[in-house]
Order: sequence, then C-alpha cells, then structure tokens
Amino acid sequence: MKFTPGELRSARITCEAIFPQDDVAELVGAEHLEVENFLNDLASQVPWRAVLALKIAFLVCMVSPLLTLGRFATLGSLTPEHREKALYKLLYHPNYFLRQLVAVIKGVAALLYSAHPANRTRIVDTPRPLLQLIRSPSRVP
Amino acid sequence: MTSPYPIDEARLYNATRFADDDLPEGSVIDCAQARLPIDEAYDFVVIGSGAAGAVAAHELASAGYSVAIAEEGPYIRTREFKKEVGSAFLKLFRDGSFQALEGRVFMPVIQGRCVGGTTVVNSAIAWRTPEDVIDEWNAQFGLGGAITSRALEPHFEALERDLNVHAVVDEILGGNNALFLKQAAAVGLHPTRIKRYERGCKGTTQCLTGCPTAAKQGMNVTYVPWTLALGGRLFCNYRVERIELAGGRAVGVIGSAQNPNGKGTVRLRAKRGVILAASTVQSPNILRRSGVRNKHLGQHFQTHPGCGMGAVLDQDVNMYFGATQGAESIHLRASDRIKFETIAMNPELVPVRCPGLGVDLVRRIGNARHLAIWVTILRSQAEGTVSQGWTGRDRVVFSPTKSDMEHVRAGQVYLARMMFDAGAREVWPGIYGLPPVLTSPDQVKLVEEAPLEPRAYTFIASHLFGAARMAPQASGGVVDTTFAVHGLPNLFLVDSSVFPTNLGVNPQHSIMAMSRLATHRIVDSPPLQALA
Repeated sequence: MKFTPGELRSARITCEAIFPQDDVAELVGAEHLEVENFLNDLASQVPWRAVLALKIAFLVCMVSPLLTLGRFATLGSLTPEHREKALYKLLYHPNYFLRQLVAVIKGVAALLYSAHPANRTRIVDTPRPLLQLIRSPSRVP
Repeated sequence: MTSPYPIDEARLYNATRFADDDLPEGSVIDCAQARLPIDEAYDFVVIGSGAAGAVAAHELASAGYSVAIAEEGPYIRTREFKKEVGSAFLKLFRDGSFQALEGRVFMPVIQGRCVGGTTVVNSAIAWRTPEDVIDEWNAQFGLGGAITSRALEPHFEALERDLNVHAVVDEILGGNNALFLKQAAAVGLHPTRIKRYERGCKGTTQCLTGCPTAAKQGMNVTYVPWTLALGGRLFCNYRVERIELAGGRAVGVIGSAQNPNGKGTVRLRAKRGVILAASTVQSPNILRRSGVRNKHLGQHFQTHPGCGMGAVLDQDVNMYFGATQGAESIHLRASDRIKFETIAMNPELVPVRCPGLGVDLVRRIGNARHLAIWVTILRSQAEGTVSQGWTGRDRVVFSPTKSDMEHVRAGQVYLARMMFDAGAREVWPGIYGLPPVLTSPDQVKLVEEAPLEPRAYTFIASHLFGAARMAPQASGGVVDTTFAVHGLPNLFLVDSSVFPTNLGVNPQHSIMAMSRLATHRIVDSPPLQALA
C-alpha cells in the first residue's frame, strides 16, 4: 500500500506543525527533512494495516480545524500558529482514537526527525544549559 | 563519567571480531536467498531462535543430536547494527514495531523478529524466577513439584556462567540510573543495580536497537553461534506454517521462505522431536494451524504493561551514556504488584515521551540531556487471548483490570514524587486528564487522583506469558509437566507460553532456565531413550 501525493502533502504539513524549525533549540525542523521519501520507504516495509492507520491519521489531521476549532477549513489553510493549536487540541482530544492517531504520527515522524545527523548530535552529544520554554507549559487550549 | 559518543565505529569494528562474524560455513541457510524447495531431516527441529529456542538448540546439540533452528526473521549481524531506531525497528521488530495488543487500549508490543529474537532488542535483564511465583504455580495450577526452585537452580547457575551475569558496574552506571538509585533509596524503595547478561558493556545505550559491540549476551552472539559450532544449522527468513503430525507424533515442520515473492516451501523433518519456542504470541497459533485442539490454547495470556514518566532536571542527566536499564526496585512487587526500572530512550523515542507539539515540543527535545525516564512495570492480573485474525495475523486481546490500574497509578505517584524530590523542573505524567506537564510537588496529588481508565495512560507491553499453559492434565492446560503437548509425546513447547502466570520480574532468565530444564528432561525422557 502506497501513499498518494495528496497524502504525502498532508503528511508534510502535519509533520512541519509537530516539528517546526526552532533556532533556539538549534534543531532542524521537518521542513528540511525528506518526509515523503521516508514515508514511502516505511510503507514498503510495514504491514498494510499500519499504512492504512497512517493514511487515516493524516486525513484526520487535515480536517482537525473542523474537529477542534470548529472552523470549516483544512490544516494547510491555517497559519502555522493555528495549525499547531488545532493539532494540539487533537493530541489531547477527549476521543481516545483521535488522540492516538496524532500520537502515532508524532511517533513515526520522530524516527525521521531525531535521526537527522544534526539533530542527533544536538540531542545526544551536546551538554547545554536548560532551555526555557517560550510558553507556559501548563497551557492547554 | 564521559560520553563515548560519537563512537568510532570503524575503529571499534576493525579491532574486534564478533561471535557472529565467524560462523561455520554452510551453517546458516537464508531461505530468502536459498534455492528452494528444501527438504532435510534432523533429530530435532527447534522453532524459534530467541531465549527459549536458542538455549534448547544448544543443549540438544551439546547432547550430540543433529539440530535445525527455524527462525522467521533475518540474521542481522552485530556489524550491521545501527544507532538509528527507524531502521532497527523495521529490521529487528515484529511488524516493523507496529505490533500492538488490542483491547481497551492499544498497547505496542516489544517483540524481536530476527535471529536471537527479543534478546537482540531487550536490555538483557536477568532475574531468577521468584519463589512465590513457583509456589503459586504448584499450589494453584497443580504442577505437583515438577517446576521447583531446586530443579531450576543448576540451570540458572549454568546460564549465569555462560552469559556472564553481573550487576551494572560504576563505569557504565550513567546519570539516569544513578539518579534513580539515589531517589528510590531516599523513599525506602531499596533500589538495586540491575544484573544483566553482558561482557564489556561500553554504555552506548543501544540495547534496544541491537548491541553494536556484542557486549550484550543476546542469543544472536551466544547460544545460536555456539549451536552452529556444534554442527547445528539455522534456517532464517523461514516462517513455519505448521507442524506435521502423523500417528500421534510430530514428524517435522513445514513453512515458507520469507522472500519477496513469498514462494518456496521449506520442510524440515524431525526424526526425534519438534521443539516449539516461537513465543507466547506465535506458538499458540502454530499449534492451532497444526491441528492441536485444547480449550486453554490461546487463553490466559498475561503481560507486564509498562508505563513511563519523564522529568526535566537542571543538571545534565545524559541518559545517552550508561546501561540502557541499570537500576530497579522490586520493593513493591509483592505488595502492589509493581516494579520500577530506569530506561534510557533513544533520541528517536524521546519525542514520544515529550508532551505537546510544535515549538514547545522541539524545545523539550532540545532539553533531552536533562531528561530522566523511569518506568512502572505492572504484574497485571488481567488475562487476555491469543488468536489468529481473519488475515492470518497473530491477534492478542488484552485489557488491564481496575485493580491493575490502581497499582499502575500507585507506581506513577511514587515516580512523580521521586522526580520532584530530585529537583525536577517539570514532570511529565503522560496521563490523559492531567496537565501534560507538572511543575510543582503539590501537583503529585493530581496523579494520586488520576483516572483509572486504561485509555488515559500510555503503555508498552514487553514481557509476554501464558496462552498455552502447563498443567498435569489436558483439562487444565496445553502441555504436561514434561513440556510435551498433551497427546503428542514428542512435540515440546518450551517458551513462556507455558508459564501459568506472569512473574513480576523480567522473564528472560526464567524462559531460558525453563527451556534448559525442559531440554534436559526431553533428552532423558523414556520415549526419546526408546527411539534412540
């Protein structure tokens, strides 16, 4: 089972919202990662059920503005801040299956994100002072 | 204590020969590449090359029998292990790591699918079977003294010698483990350093993706190569479909090569017996496909669900150096059915534990060197089932009970308290309904009052038991006390599917000792003696 071009576009938008570029953390964002190649490789090696779950997850993420913000729009049509907000609400949605779908994408995208040589070096090899978060950690939209 | 990263892999590999570098010529048949069909005969065919299968194969080969090992997955050599989790998951784990228990919650299952089985991707923790568990098996399941501590002791001793079991040493303790030892001692949990199968661990924290230095004494670098050196043969990339039965006996196994076109039959005939050691999930379904019928087959599945908690501290914890899992406490095992462990998560797995997404998530990942991760392991009371789904896949249904959830929550309360006592800036409970991030010790009370709904928690299942349990009579279980399937005197089941219950401690040592005990009984058994 393969991903369609539309699904791959959805995947990129979703992954960029989950793992944006951040110069303070000095981590390479998903916009610089080969999301499409990674997913195509993955799809050729895992059971079709897993690919199907990812397809559903990307679809749900794309319509998350409707599910979480009450806006009749796709994720791609929102500003980066609103994309993050929509997905955040989906990640902590009362419906178990909806939040599991975002968690699955987060887990799969993390395999690509943290494996990037620059990110791995930054995470593993470089002792640094604790970074302060830019927002209140207890914020829940 | 300094980090060894980046490891100079070229230097490391050039300087060392690993046990899986120099296997006897012709001893490994990769069925994905081999000319098919294959039809060969051996004294014994062992299905599975993990903790149970590898030990059984080695004991049989040591006793002078010809042995074939059938393994569904590939033989990934030490030299091929990489740091990246993604490639390791795809090559080493069942279903590319997408396998999950179904039920009230989706619970990912850690199960290796490669030569060496789960011993390639676990943390090599050695625990003898607790006395209270053996007493329970005898009292409640009528094993009649067939499985006793005394019977198992020589096998534990032999395994500990062979695999160099010892507690984590200072040089590779690492910050995450050291912090746990200190904090757990402070709250009276009597923590200890974990005993592991290990020779010369470099503290790379790569246990979960295959040890790149072969320091971890997994089956892939110990009993499997040792069996091959004794004349055994290994058939990898070979999925056993069924065991052939004729005249009330097992006469061989038949299955298919795991090549791209899925074609090609491999048949291994067994002159004396078949040893089934394909794991708690796979063994019951192989028996089913072979025509074995028993009302307990696939029932009484148990596991040890694990639930983690993360904390961010001011200091550089650096969990990326040291034993992957180096500290534990079983102080509450008997009273609350929980055990605590540390775990160093690979960088790829850190985001899964980090709360939220977006810039906050990225900054938390940037703080990963300040992260400590500890886990509550539950000796669950719930039982599940193992069956075969409509597409032929293995299906496991399991849901924790309310009592299980109370124990898990109690464990998470301990961890949260210990983390704040350690000076944590943030604690990540990972429990839906609570704030994703706790920032004050006062908030530990939120964990105390956390919901008991399993779906509020994130579990991973790594230890699997039951589903073909042992009992003296066929009315009570699938195998008898000689490990033979009831009614089939030369078909033996030696993995943890025969365990009547879970253990509350890590099972690899018990699995290997039980397999070794079983094999000694098989070799000494009157039917086999008669055949010989």
